[in-house]
Amino acid sequence: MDKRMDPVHTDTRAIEVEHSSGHSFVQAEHLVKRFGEHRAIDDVSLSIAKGEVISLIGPSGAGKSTLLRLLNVLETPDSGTLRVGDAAMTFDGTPVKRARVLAIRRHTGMVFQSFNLFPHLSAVQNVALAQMRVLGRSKDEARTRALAQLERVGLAAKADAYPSQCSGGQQQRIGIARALAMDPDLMLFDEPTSGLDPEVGAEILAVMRELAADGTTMVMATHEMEFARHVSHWTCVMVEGAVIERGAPAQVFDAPEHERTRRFLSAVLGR
Amino acid sequence: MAEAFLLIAAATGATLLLTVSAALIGIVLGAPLVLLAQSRSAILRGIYTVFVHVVRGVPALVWLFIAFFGLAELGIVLPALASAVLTLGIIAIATMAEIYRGGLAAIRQGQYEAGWALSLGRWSLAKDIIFPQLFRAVSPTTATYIVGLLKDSALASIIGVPEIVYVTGLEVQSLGHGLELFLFAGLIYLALSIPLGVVSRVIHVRLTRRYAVL
Repeated sequence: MDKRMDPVHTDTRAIEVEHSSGHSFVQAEHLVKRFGEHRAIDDVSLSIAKGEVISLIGPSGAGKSTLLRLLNVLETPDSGTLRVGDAAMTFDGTPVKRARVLAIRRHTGMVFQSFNLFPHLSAVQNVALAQMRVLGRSKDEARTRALAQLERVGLAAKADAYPSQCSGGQQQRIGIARALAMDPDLMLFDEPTSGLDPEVGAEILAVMRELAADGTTMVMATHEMEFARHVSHWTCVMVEGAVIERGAPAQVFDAPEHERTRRFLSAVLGR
Repeated sequence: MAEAFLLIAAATGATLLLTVSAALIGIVLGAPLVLLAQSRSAILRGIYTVFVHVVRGVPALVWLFIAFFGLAELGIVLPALASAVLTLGIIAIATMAEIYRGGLAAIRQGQYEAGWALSLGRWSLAKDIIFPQLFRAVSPTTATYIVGLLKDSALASIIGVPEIVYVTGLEVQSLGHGLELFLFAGLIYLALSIPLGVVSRVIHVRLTRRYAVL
């Protein structure tokens, strides 16, 4: 099916243009990512203004994680353009310039489903390392800021613990502190609660809710529908690598236009 | 007899020289070799695979004969000790490269991704993230291998390197007392290998005390 012929797609594109109004902080245009013959991301455009919280919902394998990983170029798009702040890149299949990639990554922080903490470093070292190596902060300054970030996620007491001595929820909060310590302009959350039991996941959601309230620009791939509905400003529904519907959560959740969205929501919400 | 014991004990120096130099060659040169295995080029990966399989697929004794007798026929005459260091060293390179490869495979992709997402440079990623985990992952296997290398160094007696087994053989030929003298030789190997095992275990426990290894 040609996306451009799809009336829903055309409609939602209009919403995007309307709300971005030329002041978007992140601008992704026509991103495509193939894995072999499979189109993991199929012509996705996205624009995000400062302070906005975007949720990506949709069935597993729809490309939510891949889209996040394109936004900090952990995966290189096959085509399309991407701008984060003042760092812009055009992808056309030729090798990407490392300096450009780093410029984009310097704006972004990422939180992983599997935490990916460094197991040989204590919590405070996990948070301090990149501050020293990338931002050139002194050891003392990096440690002070690391402790402040750990405090912010409620883990000051665990500063000298190693990841293996922390629960899953604590590890994920250390992961959030580690990303925040780099002063990112855009936080990417890749199903941050999927590896946790629901009660522990709530700890993470509480931290994310505070970040959103503080005006942090965030994109999150999530299966937490209630959270997506109440915390995000915009919700994108992804199916088979494409954004099939997007809009304010109230509209997407209560009056979905696309039949596929209705099927997905009725399956996950048990309606 | 007393003199025989002294001579055998003195040959420990040659055994250690052989073991330590082969181990160092392997530990140092195995590292660049394993980079071939990680290469994007299929040709370089192929070179790695062929080298490792050929070196490790032939008995050390055969390589020793090739280095000592075979090269001599080509006009390259190496002293016995040099032949032994060369042979055991090359085998150690292949073995250590395989140990490193196993250690690298144990480090999850997420560790690299976390480093990239934090904008860490290549050098920092290697030095601060990958190497410390690799070191912890390979240290027990490496210690076990060095104990094996210590015992394999006895092969060098066959080409006349004056290490423990060679000197013991000479003394037994002239004095008899094979049981006592070879038992003594065995005790020296034990006296070297047991502390090595204990030290490596202590180091490993200390390194990994606070986190589960991968």
